[in-house]
Amino acid sequence: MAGFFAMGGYGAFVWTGWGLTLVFVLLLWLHTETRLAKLQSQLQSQLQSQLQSQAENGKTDAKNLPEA
Amino acid sequence: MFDYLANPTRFMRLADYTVWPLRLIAAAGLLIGSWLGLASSPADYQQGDAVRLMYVHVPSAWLALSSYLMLGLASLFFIVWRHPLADIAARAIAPAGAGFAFLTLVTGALWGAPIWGTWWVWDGRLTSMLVLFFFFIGYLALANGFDRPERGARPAAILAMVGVLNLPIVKFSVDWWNTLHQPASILRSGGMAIDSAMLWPLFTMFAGLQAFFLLMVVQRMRLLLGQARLARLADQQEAS
Repeated sequence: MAGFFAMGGYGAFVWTGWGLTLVFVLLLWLHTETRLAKLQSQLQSQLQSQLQSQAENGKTDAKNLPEA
Repeated sequence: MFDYLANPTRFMRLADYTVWPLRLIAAAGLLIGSWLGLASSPADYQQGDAVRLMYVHVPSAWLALSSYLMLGLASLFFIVWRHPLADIAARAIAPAGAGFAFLTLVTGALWGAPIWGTWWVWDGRLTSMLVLFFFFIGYLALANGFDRPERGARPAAILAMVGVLNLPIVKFSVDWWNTLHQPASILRSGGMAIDSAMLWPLFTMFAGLQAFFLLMVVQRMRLLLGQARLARLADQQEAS
């Protein structure tokens, strides 16, 4: 096991390179998915509130509010 | 084809179908590729285990180059046909592309330090790759440097198109000049000069990172389209 991590004496270079690559992938992936999920919930609530206010103003039938 | 995809609603519908397959291919490719690259593949007879850096360095370089080509093409479509979705595609490509260009430089330095005995030399391949990274940074600065994003779209697209001229320089720099960097081993005339025991981990990592890159482009395009829609809804609500 220690030999695996030592990588024949190149461990510091190999693990730093692989670590940076995988951390970059993981952070960009999580960041993008989190922002997208947050935006979709913002969009949904914005649409709901807009349709609600339209319904209150009599522009749309409140019973037929479409899903966001 | 481009007209069909240029419609944001159609794009969003198509994107819904691509997200899960891309997530699965990316996760599987990266997991299997990491195991193959770090544990299963053999050490090189000259470089020892330092060769394992190839499995992250080479796919990063391929992705940096191919993503810049995609950025240039999207910018061309935006400038010539004024497709707004082309600008959004370019904006979605640039951050991941810049990240892969940066990773290429860093993993290359980490590989060069023990094998060449230096972190950096100003040779044709390394310098042209650094220039490619600066083109990505320049594009991002121009595209995001204005209060209204549409004002930065045109200068950023022109810069992206100019940067495409650097791609053949990166690719052929190892043939045109004497460089410390080795010549091409895979995309070269005369066939591949690499053993299949190292080729499979390389292609598996590339498949995983390519799927991840495409996933990021699709998701960021959805994000940018969603942000524009949210801004329109807020404007409508203010107006009413």
